[in-house]
Amino acid sequence: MTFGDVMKDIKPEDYKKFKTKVAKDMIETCEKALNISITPYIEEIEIALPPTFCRYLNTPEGTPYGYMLEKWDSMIPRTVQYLQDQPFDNFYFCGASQERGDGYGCAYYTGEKAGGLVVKAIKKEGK
Amino acid sequence: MANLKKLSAKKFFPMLSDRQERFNNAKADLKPVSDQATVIAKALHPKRQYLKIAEIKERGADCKSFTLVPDTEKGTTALAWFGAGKYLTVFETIEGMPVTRGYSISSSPKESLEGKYVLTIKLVEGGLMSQYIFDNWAVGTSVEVSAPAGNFEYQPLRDANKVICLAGGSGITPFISMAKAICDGDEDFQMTLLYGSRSYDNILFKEELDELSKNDKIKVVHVLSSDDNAPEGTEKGFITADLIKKYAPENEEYSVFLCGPQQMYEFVDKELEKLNLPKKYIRHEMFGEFHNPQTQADYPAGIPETVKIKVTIQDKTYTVEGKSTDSVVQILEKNGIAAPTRCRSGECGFCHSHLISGKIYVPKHLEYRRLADYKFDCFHPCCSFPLTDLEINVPVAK
Repeated sequence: MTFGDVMKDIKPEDYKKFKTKVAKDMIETCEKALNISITPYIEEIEIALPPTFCRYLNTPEGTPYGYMLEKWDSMIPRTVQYLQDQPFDNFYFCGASQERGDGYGCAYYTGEKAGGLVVKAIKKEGK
Repeated sequence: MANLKKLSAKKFFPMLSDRQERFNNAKADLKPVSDQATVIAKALHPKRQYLKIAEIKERGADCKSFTLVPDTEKGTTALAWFGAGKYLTVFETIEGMPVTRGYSISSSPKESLEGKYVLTIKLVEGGLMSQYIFDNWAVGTSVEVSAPAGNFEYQPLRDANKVICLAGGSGITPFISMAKAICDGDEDFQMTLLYGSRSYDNILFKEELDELSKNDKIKVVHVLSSDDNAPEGTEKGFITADLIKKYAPENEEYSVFLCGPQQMYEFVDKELEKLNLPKKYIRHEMFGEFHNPQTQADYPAGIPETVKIKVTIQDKTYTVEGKSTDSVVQILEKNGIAAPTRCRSGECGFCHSHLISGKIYVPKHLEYRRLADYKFDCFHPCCSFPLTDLEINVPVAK
């Protein structure tokens, strides 16, 4: 749904009905394909569509996976130029949307890397 | 292997210079994102809405309806649309204390598109915010509120199409919005509203309810607890299981929605047990801030009257003192510290915080913590009462 044009004519006031319809269609498709009954057993339901990801993650067009990397700005050039990308000394980028692209794993990795560089810098300063 | 030998790091070098060149030539003024998903998210969930009071309607001695419109001078040009049943959190500073309260919207979703919200507020005896509002809100007063929030909404994939709505006193407000939404075509369900009031003269929104009940999908029954001269068509007494059964559809599933004071929930919940309805068909609106935890049967004995709380918010740490019968959020607010709050009933998770040390009491009906919260010592300060001195980490108020 993120990169198609299915959302383009949906107004904010139509969104609640729209997302309920999307969920209903998906559930009914599953019920048909798996030959099971789901709807009567729904006790709680939360429906997440692209605006949900915009709201909580602030990602472009509401993609759950964040920014898509381009070849010229992919993992290898980002890794090679990591220190060069620092806007000023003792400032290190970390988190999602960073060196390895979006995702929890990438956020953990870059956090560890930035933390390691900070510790290294502190030790160097202390000498 | 032969292919691997052909790989050369030199092939990446042009990519590096290309990347650097693109960065150097990039414009500083980024185009704002304007895809429809972002437009919808921003329109429905603004961080704050700045409003002005356009009209005040008195509803008896202790209840008023405030009509709020956008305060364009402060940057709000349109109101966020909402699903009927939602509430707005009102932000005020009372004698230096940052205070928040949630109030259900009694106007319709359609009216928000016309630039209007209505909040109907009952004066609570000893209530901090309601007293402040009654003393200070006048036509032209600026009011700061959140985006519409809450989960007290009709959801066709979960709820039965026939809904018995049980309201008590000012708990009628979300049902007025739902009934209007049914008339406007924004909601589609059969509403039977059992509305408890003390007497016929005490009924809030009487004229509006008469008008709304002309719609085939809406039936209104007034349940009067102490009116010997109640007119025909009304019910006398309280909302009991028998009364619900009388108006519920026979041999058909139905949902029950409740909104009213704490005492009403305590009474009606016991009545509902007699009906053996599936749990998913019973939904409560939160009744706001809980007071006097010491009145609960499971509240422990020997709790000190005052406690100290060491609270860290981002990079600042404060040590404050307060009454153990106040919630953690109330203690913070009374000491001039803003905490993130919305529902003030433990449900929304907006105040989700970390308990580093100390013991708290949470009333059973406000216990919305998950297993992971217990494991990692997380809690909701809005409905947690300190039993000892505490050390806590609280997120920044937004």
